[in-house]
Amino acid sequence: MNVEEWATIRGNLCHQWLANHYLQQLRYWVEKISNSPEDLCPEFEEDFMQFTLTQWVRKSRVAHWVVEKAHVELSPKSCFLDVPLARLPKEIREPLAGACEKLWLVRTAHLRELARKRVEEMDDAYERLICCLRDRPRPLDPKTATQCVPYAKDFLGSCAELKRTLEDLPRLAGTSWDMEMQADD
Amino acid sequence: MIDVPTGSFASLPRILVIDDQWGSIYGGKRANQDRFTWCDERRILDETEDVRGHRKSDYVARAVFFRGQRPVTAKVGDIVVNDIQGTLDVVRGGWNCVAENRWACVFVDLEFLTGSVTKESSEIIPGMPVGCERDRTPEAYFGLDLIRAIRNEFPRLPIVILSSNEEHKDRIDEQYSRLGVREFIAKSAETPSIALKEFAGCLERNGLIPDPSGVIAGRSVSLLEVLKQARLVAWSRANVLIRGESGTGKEPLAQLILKISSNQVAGPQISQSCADFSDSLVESELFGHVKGAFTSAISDRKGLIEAANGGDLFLDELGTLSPTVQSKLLRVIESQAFTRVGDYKPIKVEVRFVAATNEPLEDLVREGDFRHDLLPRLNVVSLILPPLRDRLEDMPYLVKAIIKRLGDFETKIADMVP
Repeated sequence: MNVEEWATIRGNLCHQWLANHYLQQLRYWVEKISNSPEDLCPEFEEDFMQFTLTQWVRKSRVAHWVVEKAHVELSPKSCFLDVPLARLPKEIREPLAGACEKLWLVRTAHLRELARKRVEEMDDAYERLICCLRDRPRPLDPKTATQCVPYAKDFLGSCAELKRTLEDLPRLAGTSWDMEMQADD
Repeated sequence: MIDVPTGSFASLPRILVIDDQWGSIYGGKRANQDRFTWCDERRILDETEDVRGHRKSDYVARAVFFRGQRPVTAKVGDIVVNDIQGTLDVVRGGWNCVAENRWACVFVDLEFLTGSVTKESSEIIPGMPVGCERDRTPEAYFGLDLIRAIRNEFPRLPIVILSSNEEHKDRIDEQYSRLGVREFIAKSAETPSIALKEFAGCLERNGLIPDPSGVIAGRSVSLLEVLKQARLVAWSRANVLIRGESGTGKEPLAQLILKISSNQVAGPQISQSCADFSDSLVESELFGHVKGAFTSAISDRKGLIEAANGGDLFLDELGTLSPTVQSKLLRVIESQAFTRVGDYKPIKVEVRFVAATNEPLEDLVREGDFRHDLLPRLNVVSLILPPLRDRLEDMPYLVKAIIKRLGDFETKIADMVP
């Protein structure tokens, strides 16, 4: 795997799928079942339940992968593959790159941990929502909708948090690194 | 909330949305739900060919969605490519047509994913290709090529950027403002009410909601441009000079400006036709007088300028003012102060002037009938209303507006008859 591939998969997950598709439809559905379940278009609800909501099952695996492999994109080790650091003699470059990466991994562990936590929170919220929706009539009647609203809102909140974290992941790691370097100076 | 005409869909502004995801037609029984939710939250009537279902009654706009790519309905195995010529054909079709169906505005997405449609890429969003890194950099967005091409062929068509890339907004602004495109609307919003507010605000800023009161009716490009400028200037405190032939709607336009700015001004908004002033009392009417200033001045009296302090003063038929009054008016605009007739104490005021005239003021200046130094001070922003002969396509809207007004009037008469 190379950096470009990671960035493409992260972009597809975060931007194309989560921001432009999943979050938008989820927010619409939650808004409708919270405030006016009677206005919810039955065709939309059917399509949402059958095709959209369940997409998280597959995308969860991608999200876990993106977080686990984040260090490949963010690690300062990749800087040693490019000029001018690539011109360093191998016996200096390799241990220096390794040391930089180790230091960086320690210092940014909390950021990757946060991202991992966000994905797990979304997994849990999804499970709770699916449990609540299981064996319920479709389209949801107002009573059922009311019962599911807290779980739906919880899942929506987790989803929005995950989007923010995935967007911030590369930026936060860089900022944190820079800030800590400055603090050490 | 912005009051827009409802009931007749043809009267709603019709926009073209060029977006690879929303313009995609899935085929089969599945509808494009991304487009559905976007439209429903913003109260947009979707006129794209694949839409079925019920129509509501509270829309603020109509929209047609186009993918900007070939094929519009993509299947696994297809290769999706960007299509400038096809897009320009769609734009052209909705520009060279009857006024009510003409694009009021084009919304252009920035990123257009290209490449093969694989089983995996199409699994979540039907027909979506794999995309590549090139599709995702602001300097290489296909949206930029599209905007350049549309700008080149349709320089007067308003363009709005539609994007979910708020994090790249600065870089995007840098690229696109050179093409005169400064409006940027986010694809998604936190709540439906924010979504609607943002969308309706965008329509309003672009002059696409012709006029809530229906006084200035029409869909012609030249009228919409004047309305857009009027809305922009209404939010400022710059003096405005409205020009145009008789019957073009100068006074209603001034009233629209006053109405829009009414939320921001602390003082009153006063309208007066200068032609109504009698020669002997014009100075007193405008600047006020003190007791004893002239024979019938039995008490102190505020003039219109003082009465409008902190607000707006609309002066219609500006060309009828005498040179003496013009000179005094010039001093008010320059120094924001004046004296009442018969008094010597200056009174400070803060008034924004909106003036209207059908006279060629430059000719009057040449002939010495209008002060050359007053004109540029009133003419900070000049709005020129096109004559009706140049916008005959607005005739049906005007006729409808007049019939509606007459209908309202007759209802009032009928109410009065016992």
